[in-house]
Amino acid sequence: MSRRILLIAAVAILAALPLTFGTFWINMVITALIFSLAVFSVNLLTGLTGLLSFGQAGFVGIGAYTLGVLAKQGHPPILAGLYGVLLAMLCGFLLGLPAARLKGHYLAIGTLGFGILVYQLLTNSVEVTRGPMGLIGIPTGGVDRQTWYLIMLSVCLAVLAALAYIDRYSALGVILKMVRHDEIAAQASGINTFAVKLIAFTVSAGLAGLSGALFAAYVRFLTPDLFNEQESFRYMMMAVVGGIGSPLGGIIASLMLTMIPEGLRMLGEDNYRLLVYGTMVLFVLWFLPSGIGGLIDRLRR
Amino acid sequence: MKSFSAALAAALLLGAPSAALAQAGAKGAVKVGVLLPLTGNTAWAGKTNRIAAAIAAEEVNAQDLAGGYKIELVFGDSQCEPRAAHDQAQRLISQEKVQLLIGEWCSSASIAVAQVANDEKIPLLVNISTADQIAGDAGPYAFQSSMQNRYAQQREAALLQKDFKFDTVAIIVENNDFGLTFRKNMTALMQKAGKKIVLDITQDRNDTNWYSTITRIPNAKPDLVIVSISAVQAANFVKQYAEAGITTPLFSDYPPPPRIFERQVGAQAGKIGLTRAAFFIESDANTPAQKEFVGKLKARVQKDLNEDHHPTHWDIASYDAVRLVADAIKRGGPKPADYLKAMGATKLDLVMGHYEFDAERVVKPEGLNFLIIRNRPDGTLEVVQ
Amino acid sequence: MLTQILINGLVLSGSYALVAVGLTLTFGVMRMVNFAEGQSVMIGAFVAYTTVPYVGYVGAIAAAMAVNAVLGIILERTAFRPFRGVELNGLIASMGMSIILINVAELVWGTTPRPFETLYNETSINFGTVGISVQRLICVAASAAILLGLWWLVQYTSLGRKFRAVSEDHETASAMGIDVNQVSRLALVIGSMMAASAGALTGPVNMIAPDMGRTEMLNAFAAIILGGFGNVNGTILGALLIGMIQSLGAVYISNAYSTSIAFGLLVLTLIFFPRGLVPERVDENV
Repeated sequence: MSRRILLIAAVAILAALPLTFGTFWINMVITALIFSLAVFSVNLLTGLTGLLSFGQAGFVGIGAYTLGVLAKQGHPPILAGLYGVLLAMLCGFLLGLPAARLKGHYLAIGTLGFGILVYQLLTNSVEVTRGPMGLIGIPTGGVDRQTWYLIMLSVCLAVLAALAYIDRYSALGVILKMVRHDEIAAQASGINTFAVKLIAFTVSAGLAGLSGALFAAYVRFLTPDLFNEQESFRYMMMAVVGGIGSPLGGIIASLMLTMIPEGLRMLGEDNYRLLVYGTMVLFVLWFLPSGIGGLIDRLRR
Repeated sequence: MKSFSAALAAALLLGAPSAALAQAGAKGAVKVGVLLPLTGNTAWAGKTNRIAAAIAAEEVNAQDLAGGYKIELVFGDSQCEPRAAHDQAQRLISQEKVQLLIGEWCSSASIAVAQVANDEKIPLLVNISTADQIAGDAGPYAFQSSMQNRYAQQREAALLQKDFKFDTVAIIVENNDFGLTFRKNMTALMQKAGKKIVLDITQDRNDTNWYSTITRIPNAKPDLVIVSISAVQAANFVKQYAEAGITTPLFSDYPPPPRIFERQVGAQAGKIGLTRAAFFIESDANTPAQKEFVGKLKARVQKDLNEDHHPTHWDIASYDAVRLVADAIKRGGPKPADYLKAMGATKLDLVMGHYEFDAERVVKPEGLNFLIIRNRPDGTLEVVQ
Repeated sequence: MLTQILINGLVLSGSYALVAVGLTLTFGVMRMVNFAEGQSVMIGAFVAYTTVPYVGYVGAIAAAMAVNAVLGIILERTAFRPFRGVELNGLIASMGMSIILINVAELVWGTTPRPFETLYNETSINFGTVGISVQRLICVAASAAILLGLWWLVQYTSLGRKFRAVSEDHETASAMGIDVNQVSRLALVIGSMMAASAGALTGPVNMIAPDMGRTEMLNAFAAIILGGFGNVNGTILGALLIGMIQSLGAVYISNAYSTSIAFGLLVLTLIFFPRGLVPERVDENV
């Protein structure tokens, strides 16, 4: 029991630490936390339900631009953000309809295509999104960084808790995992796997959309380049390094992989730092096949 | 006696400059952040820009051009990428405590930097990006010292009307901010001049295959083809245009600077007789300031990067930017309100030409170098205007 | 104009096919998508560019293939073999390798886009209003030849039989005495060599730069979906389709959405044919 209290105290101290950081590092933590929401969406879709998606950046972009465009037109930002999440969920649902019938790598490439389509739409719909000219000055200022950090921490913890609950205690979690492990057996047990996959797509799209909306609200500028397929690859990379089924690993990976390249800047403003980054990813994969999350599980035991 | 007094006079004279040097930096150092792509696909330009800026800072400090302050440049690698630009701008401001900012190169990254500068109330000088709206969108802390797209395009349209005989025109652009504003401005200008637009294509800027677009040109039969395609894509386009054997005259909004572009597709451009806009080209017609700059930069790049480099207008923009910042500091000091006021009152002759800002904090185009050049079949360049 | 569009499409298809077939071979044998394939193309282009002054164009293509063969061996060891059974990790590992390769290329060759000049760039063959530069003609011809060679390899040689055996069921193949590791290594080597040839052949068409590999991959993916993962013949057909669709789509639909057109049609195809046009014969264990 006392060990538990110690752990909680340690986590609490760790969580409070960023409040003491200078502007730059707390900014890194905030952007890492926003990023991890998108990673969570991958954890839910790929880790839990076994559906590969390389198009999550599309949903992030939808959430971000909805907030950006509506807020600039004068709508209250929170409402705009909500619309962003809802629109992302709708798109997730619509994508899920055809995508739920695809398997494995077909699904991966299909979702990649979706991501590219969203990116090109954002770039070319200049009247709405200002395309490559970008959006500046989204009116969500006036919130200081410490508050942003607390907001993001709460949101991430809430989502972590929700995902953990789904994973371990709920029937939905069991069903999702069954669909991942053995779809035919799931169907044989009477589960409507199509509906299940649709739910997974919709909810994970909503999470990604939330990440996008928060991003737009925090940095207050947008350009379509932020949501290209390279971003989707980055989410997937982060999720796997963190352990595909482990949102906790995901958030840690997100923090580490955001802050370590910054720390590596001491190696010079050069390519070597990125070489080290790539090698680090490889090392984690070689020695920690279940990612950081797997390491945590092992330490727990 | 004579020699002694001569020696004394000499000693005093020699001592005098060092006394002046002791003055420089007497008021302390001003840290200026410079955001440039130092890695990634535009690093080939960013690396020499950095050297040009460094040269400017050295001169400012050696000749005390900043009114007693010393300029200390701190560089951030923004990779021409909005996320990196955002983070780097943050880093320069909160970690390195820069008081002023210069940058960035790509428009999407400049947007990010402008946002941060505005939030943190740090004056920003946008020195390379030529996007039309940046100084306005970014709020009262941003100045733009590079000629905006629409001014460049006005001049281009004027030249087209004067030098080319055409009734029908094809407009081909990339879907980035240069291309889209070019299309918008040129379409309006062409329509006003009574010319018919027979082909109007916007191509995805990540698509390197221009053949489909080029295939449509002979069919539409324009008298003139005008394009706005930047950097590498411009070279790709020109190459494919030449290979397709199209003889319609081609005019381009500014692709990569002379020499770099010529190294890439000089032969093809000569075959087509490509006419294009440029901000700077090394030639005998350069002003003394420009010739001096060319010499300095070439020597330094040879020394630092072991490369035979032909200075580009981006290098000049980087150099001039540091000098502009120093000049504003000299007249107003580094505190934001005074600095911004001083910057607005700038009247300075630098390498690119004469700098003055209008009420919207955008540089007035009249004073700046801007030329139209044409590739001759023998590979040389002629200045048309 | 239609003829010209079809010719353009054919040239595109040739280069897509070379990249896509390499990917499909790797996938068939290892069940992993090689995200470093685009960089293999880029490295092949740069190696060819660097060696052309010394060994001529044909020699340069051979040099590029040789270097990439070594690259393939390295890739197999670092990014694929350790991850058999955890294919997603292998995919990410190849992404990591991709980052490393781009940055190595930037360090070695710098980021300035360079023109890859060959003797064939200048001359064009024209029939009336239709034209194709000799370089692009070589692209098509060489692609066809290489693909033919590969098809023959897969259909008629013992190595080809081993590929097919491992693709279908690597446990059984292993039980029958086939060295699965060696076959995997060879698949990756051949795949990388094909990427090298794609780079060396299409490099002269445009400028080459370390970031040129990114878009190569996307089109190859589209081709594989249409043709079926692991299916060499199908992939070649898929590449043909994608090249033609892109060429036609850019003219008749929209240039600004050119990448989306191919993918859009792809998504449409997948809606009606969820297993691709040429489904793989994968038995699902019930």
